[in-house]
Amino acid sequence: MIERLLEGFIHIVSVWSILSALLGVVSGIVVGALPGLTATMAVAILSPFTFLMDASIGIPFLLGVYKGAIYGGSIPAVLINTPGTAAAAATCLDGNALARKGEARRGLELSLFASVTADLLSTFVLIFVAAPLAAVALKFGPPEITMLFALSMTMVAAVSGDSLLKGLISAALGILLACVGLDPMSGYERFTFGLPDLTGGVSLVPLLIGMFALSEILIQAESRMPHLVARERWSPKGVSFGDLRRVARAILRSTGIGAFIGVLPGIGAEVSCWIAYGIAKQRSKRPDEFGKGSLEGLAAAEAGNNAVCPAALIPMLVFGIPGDTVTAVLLGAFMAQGLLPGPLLFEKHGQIIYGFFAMLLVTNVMLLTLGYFTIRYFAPVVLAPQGLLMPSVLAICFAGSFAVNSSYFDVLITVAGGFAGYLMRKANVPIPPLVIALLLAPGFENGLRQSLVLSNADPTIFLTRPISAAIAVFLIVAMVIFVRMGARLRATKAATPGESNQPSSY
Amino acid sequence: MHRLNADLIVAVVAAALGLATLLLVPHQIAGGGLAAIADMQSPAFFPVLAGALMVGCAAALGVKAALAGGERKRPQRDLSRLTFVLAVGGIFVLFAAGSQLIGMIPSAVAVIIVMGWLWGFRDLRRLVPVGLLVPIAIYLLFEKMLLIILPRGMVFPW
Repeated sequence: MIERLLEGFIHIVSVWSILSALLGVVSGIVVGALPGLTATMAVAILSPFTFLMDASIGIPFLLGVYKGAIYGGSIPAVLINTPGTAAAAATCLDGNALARKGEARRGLELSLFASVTADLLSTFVLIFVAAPLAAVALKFGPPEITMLFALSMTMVAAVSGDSLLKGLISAALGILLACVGLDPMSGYERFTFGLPDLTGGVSLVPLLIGMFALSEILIQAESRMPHLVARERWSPKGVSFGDLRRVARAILRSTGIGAFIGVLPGIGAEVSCWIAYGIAKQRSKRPDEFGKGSLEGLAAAEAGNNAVCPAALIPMLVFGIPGDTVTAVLLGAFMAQGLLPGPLLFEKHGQIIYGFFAMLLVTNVMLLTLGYFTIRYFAPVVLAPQGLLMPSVLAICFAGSFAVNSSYFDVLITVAGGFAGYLMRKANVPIPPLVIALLLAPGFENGLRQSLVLSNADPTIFLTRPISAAIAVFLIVAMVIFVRMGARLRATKAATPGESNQPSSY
Repeated sequence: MHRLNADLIVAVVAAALGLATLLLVPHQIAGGGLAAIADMQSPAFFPVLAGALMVGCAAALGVKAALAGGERKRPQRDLSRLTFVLAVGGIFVLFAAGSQLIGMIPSAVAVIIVMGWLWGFRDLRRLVPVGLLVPIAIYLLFEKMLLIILPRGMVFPW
């Protein structure tokens, strides 16, 4: 394993790949630190830039953006009690309490160490689990693949938002959008309305830019704050070795929680941070300090959300199933680079994939170094005037969506996606099931139709084969667990002061 | 005053989308019809299945919402917020149209300045330079670095 990692690293490493990863981390921190700009939005907006680059340069850039943005979200959470990303919502509670005590630097440094440690450990989980799992996945036939895709879509629908039915409606909408274009088996046109632009289907990245970025601009327009005001001053006191020793157990526990949640489809960092925070509070010797500047609470929330990032890449790389919305966008970027995620990815592009794993470790070192030495210079970013930021983001979104296929039609898809995303968020219809169903539907359709052809239209084929039957049982058990867990999580969030400050999520 | 039940609206819209899909199948898919649900080799098989799923979920949500009943609350209307959201939405549409008509870069200059002003940022000494610099940066990045020709428009095609 170590040999393959070294081989991959040697294959991918170059001045340009290191520089692009560094640029990605910096861009990610800046975008993540800007209130209202999420990690998904960061990756969606910046992914078109990578399509014309070599995969060894473009993908490290996006991985850097992903990591940087998740960490960057903690900066405004600590400084102005406004999470830069939904994943940093739990960070607000104790991070901002520390800042109000005049310990903003200590809070930011602790969140940095917790983030990097969790990310590093979770990256090792990715490295040691992904390849063996891919070897098992090679044995999957159409019925197993169909059940796995059904499991993913149902779980995403179940855990996103507050209603299973709305989640399923969103997933059905994603499946319908995926039907536009050519039928994968016969090649007949479906729902193209005679428009040549629709023959290739609905362009994924422009739609995602619209649904995540433009809808966010409309949401921000509701509050219309031209300026944000920082009330906390920068303090000289940083994090100490004693602080780190005190929170080590909380970081390790939250890393385990985050890595486990990251592997499950649909449950991203924004859920993991709350679960990690809630469990840390339960296990703490000083639960009364939580919400008042507890170092354990801050470390748990940050470790919980950052551990998700590498782990969420496991289902994406091994099965082509995105773990959350950010990995859904990353999946689109991988496909644009000609890297089709799935079990064969490790056979066909093993060196490149291990190279990416090595780059994930390198970006951790970058994040730690950049964060530690330059964090105070990133801090003012959170005060960028919304009146300048939002129109600039809009201009970049339009240029980016056009650049994907050099198509004006894609700009129209982005605008339509923006309005649809806004209306869905206002009606509490979750967007992740739509996005993930849109990505999974072609594979799901192929698997379903092939399975039924194999069995002469007998649907019991999904229950008579051991692996697909096991997935069906897991689906039922997981649904019960997550419906219960969702109720508990909503109760934790409702009982937590200041939770209402988080931005409306996807 | 009755507040319209949001779930009921979602159910109605979803049902309409699902039914529209099912009605469009015979016209938009060669050899397609609702009977395709029994023929997994038909190109209409999966769209009919998805449309039926949509209608089924919408019906279930509608029944659930109807049983829960509408909430009695005073409607909270904030016309200025709604107007501004509509204005920003209008800017999206104008930006898209402007990109085709006068080009993406000139449209971006206008959009940044107008939208920034409407957003409440009235410092023209900062707004105008940003309105010029961001589109120039986009131009340099896309056209000079990535060699992607952005829409030039019909008015200034050069």
